[in-house]
Amino acid sequence: MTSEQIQALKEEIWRRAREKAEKILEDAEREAQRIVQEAREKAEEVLRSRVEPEKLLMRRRIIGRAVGEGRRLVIAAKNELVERAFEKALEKLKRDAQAKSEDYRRFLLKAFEKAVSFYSNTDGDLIIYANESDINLLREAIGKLPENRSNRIRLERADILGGIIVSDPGGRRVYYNTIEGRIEALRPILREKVASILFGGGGSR
Amino acid sequence: MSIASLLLEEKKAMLHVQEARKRAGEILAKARAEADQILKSTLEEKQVQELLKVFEAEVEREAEKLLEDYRRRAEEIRRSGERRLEEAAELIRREVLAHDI
Repeated sequence: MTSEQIQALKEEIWRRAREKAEKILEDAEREAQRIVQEAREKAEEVLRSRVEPEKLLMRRRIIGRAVGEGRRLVIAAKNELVERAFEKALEKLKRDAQAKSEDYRRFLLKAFEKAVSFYSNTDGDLIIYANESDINLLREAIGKLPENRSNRIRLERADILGGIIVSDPGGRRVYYNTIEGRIEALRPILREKVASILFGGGGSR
Repeated sequence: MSIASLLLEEKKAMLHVQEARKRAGEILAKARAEADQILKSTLEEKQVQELLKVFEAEVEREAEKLLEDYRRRAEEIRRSGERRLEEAAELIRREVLAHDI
């Protein structure tokens, strides 16, 4: 073998060795990347399965609280408006009663007629409690009753907005028909109607 | 040059490959250690809590937006209701003075 041939063989030995070494390292790098990537994916999966249920609960709690609070705000705004409508109505009714508007006079006289009818089967005395400014109107109405009936009715002043309270002297049977009483009695029914006007069909709750 | 020197060269080349194998072993060992560390840290409570904290802040922002929508809706109800207040009050007045209820 010539020295050139031996040299050529040596170079071939080294070329193969380097190629093999490079392949070993490349394979190792690739395998290392796969191992780490697989670990990351597994870690993500483990984390997800551990954290997701807690996230779900957390979300439900936080969003649920916000929705509850938000709904309370909306209900409060509606209730506030409904109450303001009642306050405004009370002011109007006060003015009606003070000015003795046509509507109010009709209401008062109708209340009086109903009260007389309510006590029609009793012969005893009656006391009618009314706002001072309504006394004259009621006196006129009493005057139109038959004398045997009108003689047994007494008028008393009361601190009420309008309307009447009628009672027998012992207070055993009492007939209430005051503005304040009616507004409170009608409130549950009126709330729905008022809400319908204010919010276009939606209730106040 | 002789055959002996050729054999020596062959041995050196084999050592080179062996060295590469050793290095590859180290690379794999390092990767396995890193993988172990990744999996181990996943199970640490601290990391879980940190993740939940980030998520909580995200949901809180979402909740605040939601609440802001409700606030706007409440304001809109007040504004539009205000315009119909007179009509509602008049209804109450009429019903109170009426005798058919």
